[in-house]
Amino acid sequence: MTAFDEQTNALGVLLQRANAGDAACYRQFLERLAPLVRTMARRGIGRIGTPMADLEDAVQETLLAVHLKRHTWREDQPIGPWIGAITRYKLIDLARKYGRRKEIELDETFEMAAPEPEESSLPEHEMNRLLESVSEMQRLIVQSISIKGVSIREVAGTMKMTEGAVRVALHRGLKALAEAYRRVER
Amino acid sequence: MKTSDLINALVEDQAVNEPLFGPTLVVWLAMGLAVSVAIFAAFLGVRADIANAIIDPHVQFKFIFAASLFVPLLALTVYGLWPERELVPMLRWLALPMVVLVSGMAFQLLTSPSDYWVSGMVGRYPSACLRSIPALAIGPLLAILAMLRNGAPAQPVVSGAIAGAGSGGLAAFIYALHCPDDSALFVALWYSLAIGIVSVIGGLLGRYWLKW
Repeated sequence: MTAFDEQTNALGVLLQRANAGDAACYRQFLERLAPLVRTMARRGIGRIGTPMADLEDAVQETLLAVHLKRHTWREDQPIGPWIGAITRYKLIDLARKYGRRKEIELDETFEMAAPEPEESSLPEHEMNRLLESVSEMQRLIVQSISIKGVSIREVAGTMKMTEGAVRVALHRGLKALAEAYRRVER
Repeated sequence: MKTSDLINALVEDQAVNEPLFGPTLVVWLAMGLAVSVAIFAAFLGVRADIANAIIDPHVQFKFIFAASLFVPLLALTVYGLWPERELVPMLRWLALPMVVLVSGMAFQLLTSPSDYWVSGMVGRYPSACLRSIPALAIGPLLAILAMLRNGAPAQPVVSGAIAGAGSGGLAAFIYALHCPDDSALFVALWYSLAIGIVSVIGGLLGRYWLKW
């Protein structure tokens, strides 16, 4: 078995456990996935020839798509091609915003994709500006849970909402964020 | 927001997605078909001479052509629900309805005198055909688009257009129960045009509705 297979198999096992309700596995899955997507996106953007400043936005948009479409991964299928297809779809969208030809050859494998960490000195990401277009309550909830790392229960306490209502608002907020991303003009 | 921040939010969001083939889909499809049946019952109805017509191979051809179109196209629509699947190479399945159509036309040309060809092609009710097939298709098309929206089609416009053509084929199958124009040349011209219109509508809706 190659290193590539091991990497993707591990991701598949993690997502499978996450789908069964294991939040810690889901965190591990996303934390391992992000650097791989970053490497693929860097290569993809390099090939399209658009500004590398979009890199982290492309990573975040891809992670959002993986999250919102995770029910389209069939657990009996290898996870690598599925992740590759989602990343590719998002890069094609990015290319199209710059009016580039939409056909992108992208390695649909992680082979040679040495995981790449997030750079700390990146400019303010699009995501912050996009959050402005999400309704105020959803924005507050998404921001507290993401940036401040507050739990749903705590948010419910401070905002005087039920936990169920916070859950719904978080999910809608993330969907609205993905939608706002699609509408960005480059 | 840093990527690690976003991950915090994604982990907390445990909302379970609707399965690709769940009860909601069944309800949507049933509603879509019900709209078609209602339109058919209210405005069209089965042709009066159906008992005799159904043994005529020219009439049978209409059903065979419609089925040869909607069965593979609707299967392709489902195939394209998953992002790692590419639809364009699968479009070779369109050869099936093409072969059926050409065979039907050849049969028509061989079995009818040449002075009937043009009048058969123009038919008696071309505008009814052009209105009815899209009207019968719209319910199923919307239901199928709802299914696609829950999936992750890698090419939303292509998926929408295929769903449109599939729904158009299904609508043509239903319309054939009513349609009094029996020439295969009529089918080749007007059915194809009507199904093409639905396909364009599907592609346009896909462009605005199926992106994710």
